[in-house]
Amino acid sequence: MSATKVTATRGILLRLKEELAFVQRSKELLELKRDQLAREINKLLNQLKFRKEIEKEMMKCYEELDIVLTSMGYWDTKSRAELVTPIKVEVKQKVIMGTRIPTIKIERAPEVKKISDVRIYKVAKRYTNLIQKIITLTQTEAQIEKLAYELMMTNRKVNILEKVVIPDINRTIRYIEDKLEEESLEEFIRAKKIKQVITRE
Amino acid sequence: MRSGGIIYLEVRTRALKGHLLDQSMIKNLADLPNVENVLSHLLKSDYATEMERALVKPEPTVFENSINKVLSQRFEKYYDIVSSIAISEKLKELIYTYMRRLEVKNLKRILRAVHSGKLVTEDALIPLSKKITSVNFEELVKVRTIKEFVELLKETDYRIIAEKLKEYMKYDAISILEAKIDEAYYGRIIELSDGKSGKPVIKIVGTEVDLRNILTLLQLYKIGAHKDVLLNSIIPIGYRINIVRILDLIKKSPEYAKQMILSTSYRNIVTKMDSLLDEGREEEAHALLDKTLRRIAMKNFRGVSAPIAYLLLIDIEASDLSKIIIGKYLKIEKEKISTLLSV
Repeated sequence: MSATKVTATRGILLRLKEELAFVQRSKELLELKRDQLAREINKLLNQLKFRKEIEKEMMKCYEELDIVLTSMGYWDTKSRAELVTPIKVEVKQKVIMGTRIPTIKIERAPEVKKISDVRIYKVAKRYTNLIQKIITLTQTEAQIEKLAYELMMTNRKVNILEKVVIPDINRTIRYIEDKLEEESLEEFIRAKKIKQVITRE
Repeated sequence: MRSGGIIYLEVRTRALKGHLLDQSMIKNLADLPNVENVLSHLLKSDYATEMERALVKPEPTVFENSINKVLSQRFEKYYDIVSSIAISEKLKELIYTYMRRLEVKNLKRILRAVHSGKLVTEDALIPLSKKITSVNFEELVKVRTIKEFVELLKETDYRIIAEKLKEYMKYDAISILEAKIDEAYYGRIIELSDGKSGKPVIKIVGTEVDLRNILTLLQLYKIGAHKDVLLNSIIPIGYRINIVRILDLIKKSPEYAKQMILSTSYRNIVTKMDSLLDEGREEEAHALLDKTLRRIAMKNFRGVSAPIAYLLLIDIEASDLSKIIIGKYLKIEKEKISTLLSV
């Protein structure tokens, strides 16, 4: 809003003052939201420290799988691995400070009992444990991503309000107040002049 | 006295054995630094044509399929040789039946796929010509249920798997039907190898069945499989182990059965297998089985058992080569690859 393009009336001044109060309240609320989001992210970031462990475990699983593939051949490994009952997950959403974040619930863990070859059984079991950890990690990362995006947007909004919108309204209010004061001064001088003319006559 | 036909077959088989990669060659291949070096060596062997084709798309699955193709071609070529020699029909049938070991591998893969509700692809099967198969794979790959699978095998030597359908349904364990396929296969070979001349054949096949049973028992015991699954996953054929007694003991406690196996002539190998499984070196336990079978095949490469030993050696060679190529492709250390081989 450019101050020079505003019609300087008392009505507009009143509306702008109301608007300023509303924007300031919004800014406070957004600051609260920003702090809460930051707290939630901090909480989740603690869970990310397991990522390195999971990556290490994953590398170990891959190494073991490579040895099984070498020992049994690709097709036999695949054929036996297909005996594993696949994992079933449900992806839901929960709301934190108006932000929808995903939650993943494992409805059925993979079942490896049907494998009779101990080579592939061992690897499959290791992967089964790992996949559950990976899912938890994925959920945390997805939640952090969503919350971080929301935090960034909230921060931007707070900054815009603080650095652009509020100063702009303040400027406009000041402009209108000055203008109204000037007009009232002009009015006063004009009234004074008219009084002088009437008195002379 | 051996007939002229058998002597001629033995001579031909020995000549073919000369084409196999010897133990030192296999060891050398495993020691080579990378897959390219292994392939360049194989380009000078019987595997040349198939390997050249595989090089167009150098992937482990393609190499494995190429090795399987050579394996299948060797079986087929041997089938032609056997059928052209004047030996007894019974011996011919024995050799042809033994050749079905590749068919058994394919049947198990289809069985597992059907059990998991998937369709098996052509790539996943060893390419077999109709000469060396007794089942209709074209129809088998289309089946969707185990019942349909069993129905299609009704007219073949594998018809006995229908006997275990109820147990399979009850425990939902495919190893029960796999064991029945093995029983049909090994049972028929042993049936055809009766008489004095068949003794070395029984020695090879019987040892294989015994060791497979021992490994199955040890593995399922480690996994903690249900006693009934264990009982039904054992091939009810025994050579140097009293399988009836073992099955009886499993009913009481699998631990007793393990103790009994430890007191048989296989105690050395069983102890080794058991400790390897305990140490988490399962692949080496399987390699030990191949090593023992290779040794027995080499030892019994004479007379009627020469064809059986030769076919077993081709199978083991293919498995070793596959391990070397896949291992090199996956950049597994040469020391580790060596522990997985039969040499």
